[in-house]
Amino acid sequence: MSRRLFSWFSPKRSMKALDMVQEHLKLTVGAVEELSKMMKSAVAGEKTEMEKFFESLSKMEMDADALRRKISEELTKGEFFPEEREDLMELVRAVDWIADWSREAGRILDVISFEKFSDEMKIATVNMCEGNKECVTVLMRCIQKLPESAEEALNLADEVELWEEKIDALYDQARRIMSKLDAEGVTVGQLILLNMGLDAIEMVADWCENTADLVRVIAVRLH
Amino acid sequence: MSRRLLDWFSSRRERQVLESVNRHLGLTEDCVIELEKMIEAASRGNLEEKKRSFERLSKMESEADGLRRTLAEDLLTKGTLPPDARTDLMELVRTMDWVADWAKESGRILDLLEFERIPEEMKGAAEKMAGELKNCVLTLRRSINSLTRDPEAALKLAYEVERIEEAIDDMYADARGFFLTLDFSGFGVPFLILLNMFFDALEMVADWCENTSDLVRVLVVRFH
Repeated sequence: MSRRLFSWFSPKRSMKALDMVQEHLKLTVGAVEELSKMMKSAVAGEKTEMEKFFESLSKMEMDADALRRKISEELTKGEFFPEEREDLMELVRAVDWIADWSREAGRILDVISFEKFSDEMKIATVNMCEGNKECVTVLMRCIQKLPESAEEALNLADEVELWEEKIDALYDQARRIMSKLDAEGVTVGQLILLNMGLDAIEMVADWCENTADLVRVIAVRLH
Repeated sequence: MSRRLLDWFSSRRERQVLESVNRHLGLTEDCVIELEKMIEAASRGNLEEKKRSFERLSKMESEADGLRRTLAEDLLTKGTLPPDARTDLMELVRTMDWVADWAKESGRILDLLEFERIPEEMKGAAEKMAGELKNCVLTLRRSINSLTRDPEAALKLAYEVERIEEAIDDMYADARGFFLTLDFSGFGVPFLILLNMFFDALEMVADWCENTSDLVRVLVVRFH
């Protein structure tokens, strides 16, 4: 993602790879958005809606995976410098983890019944997912800015980190609620899965932050 | 920390960036030392001190984060460093930052736990792990500090970090064993899940020390 790469980017094949990277980003943002919708349906007890969003989330994640493989192939064919190829692959892999963890959170949500959990717990999990949506949207802007302005990309990377910290605080709040949960009527298995679900939602934000770190490294190295 | 970076260090230019890296290292070390204090306070049931200790730990981790952000901006705007050296510095600081992140994560979970209630053996296991974590991060810092002066010493110290991490792994295994052998009948499932996560977070502090020492090894090899 260097300046050199982007200014030099005229061969059709290389443009195609870059378009695919943008498409991969959109799919990832979409997966995080679907997770948030799924979460809202889950706490509202709307099982059918929830399933619909989970299917859509799963499809986006699988499409992102397939696209990542195509990007790898395209990068080997395109007229890239090895370093540029490596940067793009690393960036796409990091972004892909966001989609992976969104689906993992979805998988866990799909088997948990939120009925027995308190409203406080439901609100906390919905807030975490909403936070992830903001976080990944800022990340997308951050990556898109990288070829234009390293300074702006760095500022947006800082913003991603601040969102991740907010989500960390929300996670802490959710765990605090969980630690005081009246376990009556809730099975041990459900509690373990709830804990894993919260952790997976937090991992979405963690990977946004990791990707923003990668943007920083690329920006600092190449500009 | 390539050859060119070492040259740059020896030329004593742009001290500001190097000082930021060292301050970041110091803050990371302080986070782990503070975590040990927090565990001691929690074990003794000194809740006021536990709270104050967590506040200090959080502040240090937040400062380390801020420094890391400033460092990226400094490298971008005040950079005469070659690209490889900038990447090395960013990666080194980022891996160190994970050490601070996991120290804070351990503190966060500990803050939720009524740690004073758990069996003495379990408290002892946590204190023992925390003591070794301090040793681990101090060794790591010495290893990083040796990079520019004595790469061979840096390498030896990196191996020492790995050895300590393995010892912490064993302690972690012992602590997990207590879940099966000690009486936790007075504790709810959420509490036990969080207690397990706390030990896991402690182990992650050591894992990230080891990951950073791996990076030190790469840098030494590249330097030679």
